Amino acid sequence: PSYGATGFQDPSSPMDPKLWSKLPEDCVDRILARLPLPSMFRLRSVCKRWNSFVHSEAFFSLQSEISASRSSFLLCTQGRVSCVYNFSLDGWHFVPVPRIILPIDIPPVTVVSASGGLLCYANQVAECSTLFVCNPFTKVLREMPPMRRVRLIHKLSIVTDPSSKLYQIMVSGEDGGDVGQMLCPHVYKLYTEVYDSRSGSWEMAACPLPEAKFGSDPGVWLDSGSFYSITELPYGVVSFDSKTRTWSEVKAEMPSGLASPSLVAYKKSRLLMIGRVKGRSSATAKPELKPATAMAAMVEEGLKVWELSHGAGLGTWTEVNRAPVEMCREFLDALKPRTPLVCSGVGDLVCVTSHLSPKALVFDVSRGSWRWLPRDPLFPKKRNFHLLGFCFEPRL
Amino acid sequence: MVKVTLKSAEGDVFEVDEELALESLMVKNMIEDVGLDSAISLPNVSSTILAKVIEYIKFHMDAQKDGSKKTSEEIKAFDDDFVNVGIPTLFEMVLASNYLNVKSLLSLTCNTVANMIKTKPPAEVKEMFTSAKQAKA
Repeated sequence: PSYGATGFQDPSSPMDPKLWSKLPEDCVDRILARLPLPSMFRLRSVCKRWNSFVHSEAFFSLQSEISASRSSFLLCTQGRVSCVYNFSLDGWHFVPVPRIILPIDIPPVTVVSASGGLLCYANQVAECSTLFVCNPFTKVLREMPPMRRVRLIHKLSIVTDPSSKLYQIMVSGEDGGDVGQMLCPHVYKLYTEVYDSRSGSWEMAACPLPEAKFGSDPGVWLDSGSFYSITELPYGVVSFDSKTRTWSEVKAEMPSGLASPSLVAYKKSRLLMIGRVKGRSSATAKPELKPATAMAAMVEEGLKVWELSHGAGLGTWTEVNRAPVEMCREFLDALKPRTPLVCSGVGDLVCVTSHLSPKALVFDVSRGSWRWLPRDPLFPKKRNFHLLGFCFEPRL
Repeated sequence: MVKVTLKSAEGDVFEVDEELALESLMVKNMIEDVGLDSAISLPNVSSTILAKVIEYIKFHMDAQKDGSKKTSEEIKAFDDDFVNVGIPTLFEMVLASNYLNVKSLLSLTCNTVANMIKTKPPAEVKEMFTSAKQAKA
C-alpha cells in the first residue's frame, strides 16, 4: 500500500539550513525523486550533483517506488496549448509539448495517443503517413519510418513497456490505393501493422475483422498485451493480441440501450466501459424532484460504468456504477444524442468528456464517487479548447 | 507473541511485538545477527521519535489486518496528522525512518518534505541543503 501524503505542512515555512544540511545524501535523493516533475526540473539547478542525479539509474528506481497514481496526469493538447491536470495537487499546469511543424502542404499532426511518458503524433483525418514519437520531458523526438501499407489511419495506439524504454505502435487503416473504395467509400479493407522500437521497423499483422468498423473510442491496452477497442454499429468490442498479432471479437453481450461507449483500462488490468443509456431512471432519482422534473427523469439518459468479466468463452458486462442524476444531466445537456464520449483512465480515476463538451467528469473507481474536473484560471479561455485528454506519466 | 526490546538513545526501553519490530529492516537485520536475547540498542533514535515510529507502524499494521474497519480516508487522515509536526520533529523522523529503514514511513516523511520545498526557489533550497562548512569551502 502507498501512504501517499499531501502533507499539511505549510510550504512557506522556512527550512532551517542548520537542520537540513545534515540530511544524508540518500535522503535528499529520495526527497528529490518525490518532487513533482516540474519542481524537480526547476530545482535541479541547485547543484551539479542534483543535475546529474535526475538522469541516473538510481533516480529511476527511486521514482518507480512511487505509486503510479501520484505521477499520472491528464494531458490535454490542442494547437499551441498543452496542459496537464495534476490530480495529486488538484491543479492545471501548462506543459511544453513540442509542436511538429511540417511543410505547409502537409496537414498538421497532433497528439493522437500516449502511453507512459511518450506521445505519438499523427494526423488521423487526412492522408499523412508520417508518425512521430516524442518524450516531451527529454525533448527527444523521433520520426517513424513510413508505414508499409496504411495511408489513412482509422485506429492508432502506442503502448510502452513500463520496465524498459521499449514501445510499440499499432496502426489500423486503409491503404488508399483501392479503386473500388473510391467508387463505394463505405466499403473498405483495413490493414494492421505494428511498429516495434526494438527492431525499429513496421511489420504487417493480421487484418482487422472485416465486418468490424472502429468507433471513435481511442481504445486501451491492458497489461496482458492486448488492445481493446469499440466497434460500431451495432456496438461490439474487438481485441488485438500483440503477441500473436491477431484480432478477435470479445464475446460479451453489450448492455441494452447503450450509446457512445468508450473503454478504459483500470490499473491496466481491468476493462471498464463507460456509456450513455436511455431509460427510466430507477431508485437513484431523487424523491424531492418536482413532479415535472420527475417526469422528465423517467426517460432521462444516464451515464453508466460497466466492467468486463471474462467467463469461459462468454464475457459479461456488469454494471459497477452510474453518475449521479444531476451531474449526468448537466454533462449530457451539452451533447447531441450520439456525441461520442472520450474517456481516459488516469491512475484510479476515469475522466469522461466529449468533443463537444466544455466539461469533464471524474469517476474515482476505487471510491465509486463522481466529481467535476476543475477548471483553473490558468486554463486557456479558448472556446474550442476541450478537455480531451490522455493519461500521461512523465518519464525520462 | 515474541517480544523485542528496543533501547532508545536516552536508554529508555520499549517492548514491542516481534512482528512490529520486523517492519524496521534495520532491526530485522539486527535480530537475525544477534538474536532476541538482549535489547536492541538504537543510539541514533530519541525516545520521542522512537515512540512516534512505533505508533506509526502499529496503526498501519492494524489497518491492514483482516477485519479492520479503517477506510482509506481514515488512513490518509492519520498520515496527514502524523507528519503535521514541527519541522525539527519532521527532520528527526526522516532521519529515524531512514536509519531504521521503515520504507512506508520514509516515503511519507520524504513526500512531506518534497511538498514543502516544491514551490521554493532554487536559491532557497540550495541554502537549505548547504551547511555553513560547505558554503565556506
